[in-house]
Amino acid sequence: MTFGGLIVLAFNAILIQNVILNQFLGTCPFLGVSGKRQSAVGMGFAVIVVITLSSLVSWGLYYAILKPLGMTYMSTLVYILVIAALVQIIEMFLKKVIPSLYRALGIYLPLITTNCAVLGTAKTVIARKFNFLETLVYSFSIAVGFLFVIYIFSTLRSKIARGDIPKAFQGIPIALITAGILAMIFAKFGQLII
Amino acid sequence: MNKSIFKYALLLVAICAISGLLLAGVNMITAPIIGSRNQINEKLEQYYPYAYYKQADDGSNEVAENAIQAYYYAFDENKNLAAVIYQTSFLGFKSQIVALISIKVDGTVENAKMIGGKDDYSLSDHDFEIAGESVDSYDYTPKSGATKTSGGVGAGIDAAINHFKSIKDSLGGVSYEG
Amino acid sequence: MKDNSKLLNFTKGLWKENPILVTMLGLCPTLAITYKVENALGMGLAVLFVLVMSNLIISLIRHIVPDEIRIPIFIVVIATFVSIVEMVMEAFVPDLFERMSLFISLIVVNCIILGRAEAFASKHNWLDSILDALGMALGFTLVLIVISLIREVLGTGSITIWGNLAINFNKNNSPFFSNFFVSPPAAFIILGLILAGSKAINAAKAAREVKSK
Repeated sequence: MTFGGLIVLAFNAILIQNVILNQFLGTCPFLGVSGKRQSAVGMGFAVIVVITLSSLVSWGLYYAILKPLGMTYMSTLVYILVIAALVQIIEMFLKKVIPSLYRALGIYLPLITTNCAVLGTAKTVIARKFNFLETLVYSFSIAVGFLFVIYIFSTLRSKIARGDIPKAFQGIPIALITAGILAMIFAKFGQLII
Repeated sequence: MNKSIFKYALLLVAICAISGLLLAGVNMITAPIIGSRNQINEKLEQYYPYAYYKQADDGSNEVAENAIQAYYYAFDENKNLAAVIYQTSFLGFKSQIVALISIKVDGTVENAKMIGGKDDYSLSDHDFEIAGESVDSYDYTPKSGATKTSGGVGAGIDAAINHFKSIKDSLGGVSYEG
Repeated sequence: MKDNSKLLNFTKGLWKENPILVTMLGLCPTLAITYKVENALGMGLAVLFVLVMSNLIISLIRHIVPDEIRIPIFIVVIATFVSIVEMVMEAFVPDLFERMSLFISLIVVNCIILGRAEAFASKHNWLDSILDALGMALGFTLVLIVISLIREVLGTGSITIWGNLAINFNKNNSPFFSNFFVSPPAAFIILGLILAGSKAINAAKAAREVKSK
């Protein structure tokens, strides 16, 4: 893939096939932590690290071990173990080396194991037969798209929370409807001609 | 402390091993079924540059002789329909000749390839000389020395082009999803 | 009394603790695949199998699993059954699998499954755990079916299940049916409205109970 192709891939991954609004991955943490701007940003950055690393490691394991041995049926199991182990290692690393960052991101790290955007991206880079460079660009861009949307959304939600909302709509329901309107805006990016 | 970590690791490895065995067992049952269907997909991916393929489901799934066995829609990376690829089976010299015939949506023939058959002469590595011809007026040159085998492919080309003409007007409604 | 509690283990998943409507777990597949009723049925069955099997196994091994590493072990058990579902679906319902293969794999990280393992199966016997799993999975499937009915009917004007059962509601091309409803934004909005609806019903119920007391 050319350099231009990689740019298009990144642009697509961030805006058009946005991980939350178009692919519906990572909706749980999206709705869970987007109430506060600070936690949304913390979660977003932790997700960037985990998605990029876990996709690269899963990609490597798939082409180095699983595929040559004809054990691709183990891939789901292997990926989720990679993700769980990676999250654990990052947590221990941060705790020892950069305690200030650990305090900022620490509580979001365990949640990331069950963030389906992580496993979803690891599966996607294999399904779309990406090479190493494409995997790097794609997984990083997907995670940036996650941070981007979760940040926008947290600012929207802090405004909405101050509004006068019918009781039944408070919390998740109004958040989902807001996300729907945001998704409509993002769907329009798909009509940009590159 | 260290002892318990060792014990935990052993337990995890044991559970992974059990599940690995279980999965290998299920895989032994399902892999042949998946494999037999993917064979044609592998051929398509080997011979053609398109990003996605979908088998057209026109209700008749029986494997017929001297007919079109199946046809596939090929899509580009943006999931726009790019070509229709036919799998045909017609009698050649000694055996049924299975061929893939690809026709682009604009009505030009992309190529024709022999992918199966037990004739002495195999055309599988050669493009049948029909690339670029229009479906409205086409002509192909049989390989000299293998006229009957070529005839198996040629009959496939005729059948594919006839069928393509009959569905040409409805191709606009074909999409990858759904 | 005892039989009653068994029944309760099953029925609580259908409405009172419905995984989507009340605990709001597993929203990713709920949003992603409900553009077709067929998908909802497939996903429901897949979740039913994985949830019942993982609840059963986890309940059976709950005494030998050390507390510190229970989560990784649960994940391995769940991933095993998800992989089995993936292989079986790829072999026998290839079209359906192709459409939702990503979301079938993602059952591994579906909070409903891990949530039931952690909150229920690791503390109860195998029979209760199976009943709990059946109830939760059916509750999940029912909501998926309701959402996908709304989306497929409004989006395409018809319902098609495995090509055989097809009903067409839109014989005169009414503009009322719009493919907006099968698009991603509509998924969010319809789920939001349904959650608001269920919240309103529960609130009204609670108010009535307070009154009658």
